[in-house]
Amino acid sequence: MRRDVAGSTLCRRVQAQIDEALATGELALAPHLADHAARCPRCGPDVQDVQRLFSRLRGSAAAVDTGPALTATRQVVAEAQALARQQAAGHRPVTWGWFLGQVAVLIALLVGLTLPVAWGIWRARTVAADHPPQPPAAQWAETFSSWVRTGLDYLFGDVRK
Amino acid sequence: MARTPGPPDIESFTAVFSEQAPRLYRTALGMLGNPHDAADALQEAGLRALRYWGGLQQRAAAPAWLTRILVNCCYNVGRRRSAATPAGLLQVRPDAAPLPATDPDVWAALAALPPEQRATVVLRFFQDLSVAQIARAMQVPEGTVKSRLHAALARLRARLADAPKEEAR
Repeated sequence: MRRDVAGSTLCRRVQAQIDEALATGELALAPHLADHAARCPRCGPDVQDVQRLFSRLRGSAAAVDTGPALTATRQVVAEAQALARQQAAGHRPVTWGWFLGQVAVLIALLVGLTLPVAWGIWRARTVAADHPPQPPAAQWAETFSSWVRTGLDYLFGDVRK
Repeated sequence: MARTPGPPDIESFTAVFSEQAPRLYRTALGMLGNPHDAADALQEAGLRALRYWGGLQQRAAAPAWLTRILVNCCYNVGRRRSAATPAGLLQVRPDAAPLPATDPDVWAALAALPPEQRATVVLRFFQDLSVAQIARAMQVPEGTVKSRLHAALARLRARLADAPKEEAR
């Protein structure tokens, strides 16, 4: 993985630290290893090389012009504000127009339900006034037999003649 | 963090996203290699985050959550781009807008990395995320992050050693 260093134990430990730094992105040498790297003609350039690489990468990130991000951010924020307006419209406060509309709908509903019932009562009273009072079962039996007679006349009236 | 979207708190979303946008943009630029695609990815990530903002229970986790969304959006933008120009996922477009003028060798070296390695390096050095945070953002084991980072940095080191920074020459 790394080029072999034919040196002291300290050299090998520094090289192991450099290898670890490439896997973690962070080079933190213990003081005695840093002292060794400062003096060692092999470890010194390697440590500086890795530190320079990390520094260049971080510097490149810091040098980015984030101007184009503003446009994208503005569009996202505009979308968020539009969503907020939609939410606000969903929780609209009660106004006079809305209140009167609700009253009108309620009145129409009541009238729609009441009219057939009133008509039914009126019709029942009319029938009761035309005929002498009878038990309900007898009234139903008379109505039913009337329907049957009418039906039979319609179906077989010509046959009888 | 829950995934169930609820009614989003627009004000907090706007504040957090506006604050995080420059950092996210830098990441997208590092991953995609050109400002136009980076802005596209940032906008796509913002809209997606807005949709699911109501389901985010821990506001403190918002930066890492936004980063994860952004990484996925960068992959999506890269896929769409590679479908249009079959040069592979996240290959830097030759007709792309110019890269930052500072240290162009670094950007060129980054562009030459495979997509996953590039994303790992960008998250580590552009966002200063730890290995564990990168693993969460990319949804891979920490060992995978380390091996990608090692491979990527070794390649960058070799390439940049051949093209040292102007000031260093």
